[in-house]
Amino acid sequence: MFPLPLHIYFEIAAFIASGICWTKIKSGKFRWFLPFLLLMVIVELTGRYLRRELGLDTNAYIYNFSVPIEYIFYSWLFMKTYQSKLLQKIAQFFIYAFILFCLLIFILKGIHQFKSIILLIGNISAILFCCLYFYELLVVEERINLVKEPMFWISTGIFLFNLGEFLYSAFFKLLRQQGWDNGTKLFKAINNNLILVLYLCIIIGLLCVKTYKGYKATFVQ
Amino acid sequence: MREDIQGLQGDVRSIIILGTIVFLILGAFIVSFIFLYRYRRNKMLFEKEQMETFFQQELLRTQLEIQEQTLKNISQEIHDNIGQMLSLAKLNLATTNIEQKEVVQQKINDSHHLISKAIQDLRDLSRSFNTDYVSEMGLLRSIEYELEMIQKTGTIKTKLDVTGPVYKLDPQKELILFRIVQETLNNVIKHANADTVSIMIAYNSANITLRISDNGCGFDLVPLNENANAKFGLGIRNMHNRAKLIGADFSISSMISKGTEVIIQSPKDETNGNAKN
Repeated sequence: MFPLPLHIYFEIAAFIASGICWTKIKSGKFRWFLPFLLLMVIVELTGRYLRRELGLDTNAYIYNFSVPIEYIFYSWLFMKTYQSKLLQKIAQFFIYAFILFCLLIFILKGIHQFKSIILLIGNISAILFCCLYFYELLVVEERINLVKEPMFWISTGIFLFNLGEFLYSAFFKLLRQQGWDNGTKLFKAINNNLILVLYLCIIIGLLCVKTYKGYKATFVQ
Repeated sequence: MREDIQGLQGDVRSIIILGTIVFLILGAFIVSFIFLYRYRRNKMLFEKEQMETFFQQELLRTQLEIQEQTLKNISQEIHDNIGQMLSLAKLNLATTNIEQKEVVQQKINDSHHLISKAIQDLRDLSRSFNTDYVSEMGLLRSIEYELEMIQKTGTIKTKLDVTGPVYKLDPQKELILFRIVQETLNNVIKHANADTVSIMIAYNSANITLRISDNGCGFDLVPLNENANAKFGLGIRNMHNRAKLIGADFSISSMISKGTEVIIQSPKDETNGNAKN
């Protein structure tokens, strides 16, 4: 199991960052990053343990659960971020539809093989939600310093990760059926590097979260 | 067959690798574009906020100056006019000899007339205490009132010509225009040594033109255009800046011993935020 690959250290670092920033994030939507990142670390370590230590051929069922959770979380995050009611409704609708779709897939096709269609839909939805968020950033009539905007960093990470992973997800079934990516070298080359980008952006985003200091009145004599 | 499959495998892998690189470059481009766009927009919004703050400050200063000027007028009016009339009435009554009945009646009548005039002047003055009178009466009436006050001093004749259908401008804009007119009239009283001042106001569908002219001594405008002489004509520069603030054109022409003319042309629908620089 050890040494762990670099991308897992980034995931652990992101989880630690969410713990360090807990006092800043505990009152807002970003507080859910702590359990989410913990789950992601556990999933990665368990998946690796099952494959490396127990020699199991497939750890697909773990990812079959973690991938929907990941995209539901991202969609929920965007739903909470959007200013427009319509976009909030769209994100909310997607969450329900996506949950239903995943359940149907698992019921009809089982969970022992990785369902790349879920990943592909997740990729597309995340890209679209990021684009909608970027659109809102473009049109908003107030000064926003993007360097200090947590959601901008997090969205950038999600956007680049999903854009990079999208094509592989689209060809996932073909590659696996034909055995054209034996040893998942291509997948690892793409996915592991993109994870670095994603979690680096999440870390920066979490560090950017500002504490609400409340209203402070000063009496001048 | 095997070669075909290997070729296809290579193609698919190439598509994925190249496509992923292209997508990532595209993504990086989109993020950079948003970043730069937002940076520029922030800069623009900051300038707009600064301009609005400046406009509000200028507006407040204008209001304070109008108030100050109004109080000065009131003080002068009380001292020079009402005070004099009441003193005269007091003197009349104090010097009345009750034994001379005909003279007494005359003196009482004179005192009655003087006190009535003082009451009337006080009524006029009380109107001036309302320092929001510009926004309440409107630009035209405020200018009329200002000219009436000058006319009353008896030293300068005033004339007002209005052409075109009268309309109201944005109250803030009217306030600033009025302050420019007031400042110009003050300059005429203080420095021009004129016996006539006239104001022409032309309303048309696109703009309003105010032309204030006097037949005074005039002055040399050349130092105004010399940057080194920044202190000269500070009041005129101030008026010019205020006119710019509301998107109006300000021009001044003067000839020694032939008088001075100030022209302010303000667009009808130009509002705060669209001010020219």
